[in-house]
Amino acid sequence: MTMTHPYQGIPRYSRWKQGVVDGVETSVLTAGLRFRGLQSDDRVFSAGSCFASNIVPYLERAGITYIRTEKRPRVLSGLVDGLGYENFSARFGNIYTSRQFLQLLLRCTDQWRPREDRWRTDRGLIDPFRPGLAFIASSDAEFNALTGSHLLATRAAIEEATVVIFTLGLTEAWQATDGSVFPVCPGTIAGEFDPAKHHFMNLSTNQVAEDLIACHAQILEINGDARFLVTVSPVPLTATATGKHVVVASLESKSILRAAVSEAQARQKEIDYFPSYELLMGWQTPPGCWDKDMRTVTRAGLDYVMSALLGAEGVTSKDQPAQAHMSRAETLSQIISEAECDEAMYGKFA
Amino acid sequence: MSIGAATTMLELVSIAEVAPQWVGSRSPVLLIAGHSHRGAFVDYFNRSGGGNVPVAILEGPMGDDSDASSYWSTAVSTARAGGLPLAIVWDGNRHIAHFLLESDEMFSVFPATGPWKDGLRRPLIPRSLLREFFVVHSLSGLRTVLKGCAGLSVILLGTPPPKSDDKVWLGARRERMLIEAAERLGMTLSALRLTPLPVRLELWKITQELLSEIADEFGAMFVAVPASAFSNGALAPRLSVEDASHANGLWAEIMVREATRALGA
Repeated sequence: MTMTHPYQGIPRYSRWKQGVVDGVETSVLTAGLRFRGLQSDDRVFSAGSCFASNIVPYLERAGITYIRTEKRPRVLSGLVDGLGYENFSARFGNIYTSRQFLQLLLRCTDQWRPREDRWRTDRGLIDPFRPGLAFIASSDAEFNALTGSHLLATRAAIEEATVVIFTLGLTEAWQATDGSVFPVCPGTIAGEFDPAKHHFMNLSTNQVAEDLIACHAQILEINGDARFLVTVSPVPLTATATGKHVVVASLESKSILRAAVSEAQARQKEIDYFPSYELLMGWQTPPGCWDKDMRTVTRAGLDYVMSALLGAEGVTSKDQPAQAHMSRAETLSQIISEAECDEAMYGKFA
Repeated sequence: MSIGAATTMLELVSIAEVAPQWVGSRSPVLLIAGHSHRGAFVDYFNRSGGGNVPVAILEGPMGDDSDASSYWSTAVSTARAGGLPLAIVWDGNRHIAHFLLESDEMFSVFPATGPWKDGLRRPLIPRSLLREFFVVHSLSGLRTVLKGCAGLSVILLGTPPPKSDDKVWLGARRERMLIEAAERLGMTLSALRLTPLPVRLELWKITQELLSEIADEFGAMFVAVPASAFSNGALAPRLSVEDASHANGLWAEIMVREATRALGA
């Protein structure tokens, strides 16, 4: 009589020797996960940590539509807002925590209004949730209009999407007295830290899982057809406020995030997960994926992750030609202006 | 260089190609110099039949840095020699050169928040960003000119507000060069979309705010375009030349009146 047990007949990649020692096939690293992949006709919205912005050029080169609802005319491209506001579907900048993303979604649907929603300075009003914006409102009325316009654009981007990708970055965060979560601690990039108003929080596995489930529900409120794809950034913390060594704090934080995704998936069957964290922090991670500071993912590392997300073809696509400096509309605007300028004016009044 | 005799527009064409030359009143109370919008003041002079207008206008090429330097040098030295106020018409076309036609990346500027007739979204861009854009692209040369005006009475004149869509299209269709350029870019004029007037108006207002601020900075006087020059948020049609951007002598007359009033002349 033959003994049978659950490990008989498992796929080759499920065994360490055949799945790792004998060579890792990147294409099967997503096997067994709830990951429905990306199709060429998908329209992608993304938000998250710095790592999340790295995927955008790959998506665009692969011919997948990356939604941007707050684009600016190219003629203004020389005036850049700092800290990656250009890099996502709308100009919300880096969103490191599940709580901040959830609150952004709630603000888009007018279900959450942060009490501490602006910091007043001599040069204008700073948005605490986008503290690195270089160009800011000069009055309360303009601030309200800019914020409202941004939230509408964020909502519109989700409405257009077939896939909403969110990359979890951190568990550590700073919040206001009403629970509003800032992207960075007040006083670091802008604003002033006030210990009476600004409190440290370190999200638990359960809190992150509940946030993700709530994010999924909010996304469906906005766009019932959108899929929610979660990833975890492998990039460690720059600094920790826990008092622990930054390596220990980073691993604790990433472990919580990874466990929280599994918990959220267990409770909500429609949430997808793509293993960018495992790809770059796994035992199989190829050498050369991390820079000397052991915090920056190299181009080779990004290629490795994106080949799993898009297939090798998506990564090796040729770079698109650089966009022309001026749009056709701007070219013609300039022609009109030049045609009516100075010397050309001499005949106008004859 | 002294201020010459009254000159007609036909003579101007050749004059402008060779050297800066004053035209207008023999005994002006105001000297006017600047970019293309100075043409409105020449029109003002011509409409008077070469008669009794209180201004002289410096005509001349400004095509390159050397021409512009010579032009402004003539303007400043003449004003200084005659003890006359110098009224500067600076640029005034930057909002048109970059934003007359709407690019695919549509935007607006507070307080022009819509809703828009076409139902499309136009996310807001901070005014501070557009101010910086115009400072970089338009005003550095003005600072240089104003630095050379120490001791002079200087007026910065407001420039013409944007025109209504109808007026812009009417003017654009007369520009064969524009039509040909559009065709080369695979477009027809009818397929082009103008930046909505409320957005163009805000962009223009930013340029006027900057002129006013730079006037304060250099102790000059800024003469704003008065409400009487507007109709429905655009340059009043009676003040418009048949092109996309310029005003006529009637507009110049209004501005001269405002300027002389400001001078207490």
